[in-house]
Amino acid sequence: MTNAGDLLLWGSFKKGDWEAYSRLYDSYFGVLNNYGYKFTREKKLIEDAVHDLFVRLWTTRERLSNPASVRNYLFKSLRHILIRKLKNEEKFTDIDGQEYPHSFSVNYASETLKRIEDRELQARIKSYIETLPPRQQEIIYLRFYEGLSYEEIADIMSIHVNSAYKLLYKALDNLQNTFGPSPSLCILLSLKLFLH
Amino acid sequence: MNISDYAQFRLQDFLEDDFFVQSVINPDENNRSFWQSFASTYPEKAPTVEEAVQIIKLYRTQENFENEESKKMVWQRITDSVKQSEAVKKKRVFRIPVFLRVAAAIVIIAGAATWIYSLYSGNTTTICTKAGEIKTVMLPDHSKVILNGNSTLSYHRGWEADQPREVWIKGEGYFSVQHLNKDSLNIRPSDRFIVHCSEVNIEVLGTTFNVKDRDGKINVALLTGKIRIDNLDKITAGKALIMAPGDYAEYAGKNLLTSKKLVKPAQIVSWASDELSFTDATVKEITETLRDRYGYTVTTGDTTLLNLKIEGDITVSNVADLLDVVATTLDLKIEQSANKHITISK
Repeated sequence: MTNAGDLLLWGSFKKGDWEAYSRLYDSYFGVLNNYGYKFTREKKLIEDAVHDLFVRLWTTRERLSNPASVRNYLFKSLRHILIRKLKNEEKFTDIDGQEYPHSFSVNYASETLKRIEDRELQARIKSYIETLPPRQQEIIYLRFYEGLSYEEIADIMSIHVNSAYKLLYKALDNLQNTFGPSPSLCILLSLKLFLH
Repeated sequence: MNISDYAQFRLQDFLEDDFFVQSVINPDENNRSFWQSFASTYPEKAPTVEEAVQIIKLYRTQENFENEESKKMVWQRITDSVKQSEAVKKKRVFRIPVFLRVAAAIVIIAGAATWIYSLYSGNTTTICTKAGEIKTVMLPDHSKVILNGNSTLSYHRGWEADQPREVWIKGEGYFSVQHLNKDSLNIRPSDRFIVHCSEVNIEVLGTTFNVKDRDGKINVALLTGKIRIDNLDKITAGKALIMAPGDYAEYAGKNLLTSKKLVKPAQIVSWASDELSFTDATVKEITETLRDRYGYTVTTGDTTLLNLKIEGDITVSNVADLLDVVATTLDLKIEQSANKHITISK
């Protein structure tokens, strides 16, 4: 999925091309569900949000602008809809009116890792990240899993670019204490350099 | 990108760095050789780099939830909902004109009444600027307007709590409107702020935006918040334009010419600071700016010169530098006489 190709599709979709619209759905259904799944494990709720997002896209298509990146636009919209739905669900239990009513968590795939060191390091990463507030966990996901830039992240999370820098900085602040290179890694690496 | 830039990096510095993260996620020949030479120049940093790589890679080893089995079903639901909403829309078409005719009549009467009131009440404040003059106007509600050269702004002296805030503008102004509304479900009349231009009205709650009404063209650029533009002529057609931050709209008389996203919205208000800033500007745009901001008159031997364009960004701090850039990039002769007159020729 290239951005230029997406924007072409977006242009035809805005003119009422149903084929282009359904292709956008085809290419983004998976990644949007994957993103939504980090906020809630309730499959039905994510599907409702994707449904609402696409229905709104079609019915308001004439008024839509051309986003810098279609993926970013869809992520941002889905996030907005999903958070509102989660808020509504919690209406009767959440009394302190928190700004960020959701949690954010990923499922690590440790079975695919063969080396024991990798499993250990992944377990350490996992326990480090799980201590962070949800917003910090989310920025780590957008940064390292989706590979987005600070500007794109700021757009999706509806925060200022400076705040995105700060948020990631905070999320990684304690990393040094938790990690620091292990001796086995040093040996491995010096061997690698010898071979080059 | 220099290898030495990274000499002092700690583990989290690598993880915060764009180039590093991209090298791990999308490795290619270039970045691979960059990091190899980094590791051989600073061998003591090599373990940290390797650990940062491992952290990203292992974090990315995640389970994917693609929800493939529901894809068809959700698509069917979307198709049904879209059909339903389009059916509803068709039904509504017959009711709209009646409602809008009444609304239009009210708007016209109210408009005429306000106009007559403003003519006879005589409590209007008017602020004018000469060419090259910039004034900052503080409105009764502490909203701020920076008025560009050759422009006029007027408003009623006392603003009532049960009336929308209203100003009239000719020329160009950069508005920072105070947001008074506290409850978006209950908008009081005084929460509304209306800017009247020659052919359109701009309605806002609290935002920053730039309006330029000159030479029969009106353009509006929104920096923050949200605004609505009502075209006075087409009000019966109900064609209001809702703008989001970064949006830019241009009207020629009563018709919407273009609406687009600005790559650098802040550039459009560079006139309010001391900077001269352009992106992909034509000679015509540059001469217009010289005229409006500094009161220059410009003549060109050959009018096709006005269509020449300078690709890319220009940011300079004074007119002399700007003329220098234009002359050298487009290979033109630019002569300046004492009475603020500029002649451009081949």
